[in-house]
Amino acid sequence: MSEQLQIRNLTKQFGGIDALKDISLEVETKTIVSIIGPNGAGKTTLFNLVTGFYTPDHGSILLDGREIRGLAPHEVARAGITRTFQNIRLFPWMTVQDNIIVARQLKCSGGLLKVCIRTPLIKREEKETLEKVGEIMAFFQLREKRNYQAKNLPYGEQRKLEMARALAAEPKILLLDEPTAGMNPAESKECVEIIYQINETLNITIMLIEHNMNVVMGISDKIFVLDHGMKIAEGHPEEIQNNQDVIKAYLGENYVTHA
Amino acid sequence: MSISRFLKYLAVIGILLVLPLVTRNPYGQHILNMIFIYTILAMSVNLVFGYTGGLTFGHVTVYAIGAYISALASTKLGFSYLTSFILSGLGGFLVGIFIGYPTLKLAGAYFAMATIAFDRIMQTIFINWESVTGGPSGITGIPYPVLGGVSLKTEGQYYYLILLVTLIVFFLYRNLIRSHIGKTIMAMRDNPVAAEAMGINVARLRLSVFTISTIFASLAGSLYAHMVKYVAPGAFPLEESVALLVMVVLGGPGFLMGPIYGSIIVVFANEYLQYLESFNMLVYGFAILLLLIFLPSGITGMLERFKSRLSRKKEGIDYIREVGIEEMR
Repeated sequence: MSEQLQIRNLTKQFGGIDALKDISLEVETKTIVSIIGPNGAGKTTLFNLVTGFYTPDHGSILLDGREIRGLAPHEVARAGITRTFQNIRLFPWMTVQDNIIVARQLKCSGGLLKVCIRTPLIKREEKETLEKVGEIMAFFQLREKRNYQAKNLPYGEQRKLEMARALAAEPKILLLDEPTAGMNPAESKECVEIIYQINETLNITIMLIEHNMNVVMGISDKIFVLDHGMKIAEGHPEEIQNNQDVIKAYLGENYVTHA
Repeated sequence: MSISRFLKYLAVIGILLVLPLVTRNPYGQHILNMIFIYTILAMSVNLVFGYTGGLTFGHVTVYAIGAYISALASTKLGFSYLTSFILSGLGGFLVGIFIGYPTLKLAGAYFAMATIAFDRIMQTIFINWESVTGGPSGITGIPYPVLGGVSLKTEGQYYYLILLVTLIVFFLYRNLIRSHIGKTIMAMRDNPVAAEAMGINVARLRLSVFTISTIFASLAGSLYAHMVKYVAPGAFPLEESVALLVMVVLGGPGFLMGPIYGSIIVVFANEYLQYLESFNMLVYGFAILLLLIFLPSGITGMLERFKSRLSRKKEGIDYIREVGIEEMR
């Protein structure tokens, strides 16, 4: 398996604070990778850097060997990395279907002039978009609610819609920022099932930020642990569970077992 | 298209075609023509304000530029009507690109101020560049349109050209709003960060919409110039841009039909306000304030809310079809 995403020496400072310091990590294609760490460790900053919302001070980000550092967020999305947000950023006033249609637009040619005249090409594209959007809604069992305004969906379904939108772009890598936040065990289990499905059937690489350790340990091929902007551990779930530095970072010195 | 929809369109077009028969005098005809021209302007302002969230005081300025271009092209340069009309559109396109590119980066009030600055700059140019614009007295003797041998000498005849252009503009505007890109535009208004994350080039889309609106506004200017056959800086005061905003807000900002209802009502209201003589501005000002407080989503917003309440009784869910800009807050 090849390295799809390579992050090298990534550094980001805000004022005098090192949000991320010299972070290097590699993500292999079609794996599920989790980024964990205490709050303030820099996990969301990492996502924001990868997706172009922040520009790194140093370092590089390579997608399939191509440098994507410095690209604007919409360019990163077009390059194949999409994301969900920690606080849901749906278009609340638009319907479920419309939310996904908009997410699909980056795949369409849409010249504004052609749209105003409604050329046959545009009509065909819109038809294809609707079909694809229908498939996506079916996958997430949102079809029945397709004309509901996004703000009227229950929380769990809003999260599903957010994932549906990120998938509509047919990304290579999907970044999920705390996908099970605020979910009860049943909902979390369903979320994990969906993530597995996305990874297995759609062959999409997944990077998660998660605090729910059951989810993390159960689903990840690899885990990276961040603390205070630095990578303190990486490895398979079993290795991380017993890693002393990780335990110290999360639970404090008292819990570290000394040999 | 279903039979009933086709018949509805036919009926509307039919009524529009015979409207000149209802206006009893040239003044009435002039008002009717102006309603259509204002409708085009209101649609263009709605694209920028209602659908993109940019508070613009500059669309009458673009209208003026279109009027001057058409006037100059047909008088000093001797071009045909059609060429002058197209040149106005081209002018509008260039204004959209050159003014839009730097100003659309500005947020809220700063964008509004930039449009006001643009207006002031153009007014200064219109008044002072006498050799080209004719200074404060403007340009007179603009010829009536001659298209394919047909001369449109009276306002009644001119009406049909204005109607045609308005219908074409409406058709383009409606296709844009109803398309998937239209939804993208509304999404961009709703949450530009999320839109950006989904691969939408927000800056470029905003500029494209802005440019379409300036093309519409400048074409309206050309229509105006050849109708009144005289353009001068005084015909395009800043208050007119305020009036356009009132039309858009009253009709329903960010709603498809908003500008159409708005322009009809404001033009009629203006006519009736004349009777109040010196009190008309007072009434006008109060009306705007009341509008902003009680009806920020305009008439169309009220209609949509009413429709959604009806559907709530039927289906039990809140179902607003169209959402204007006010609901976002």
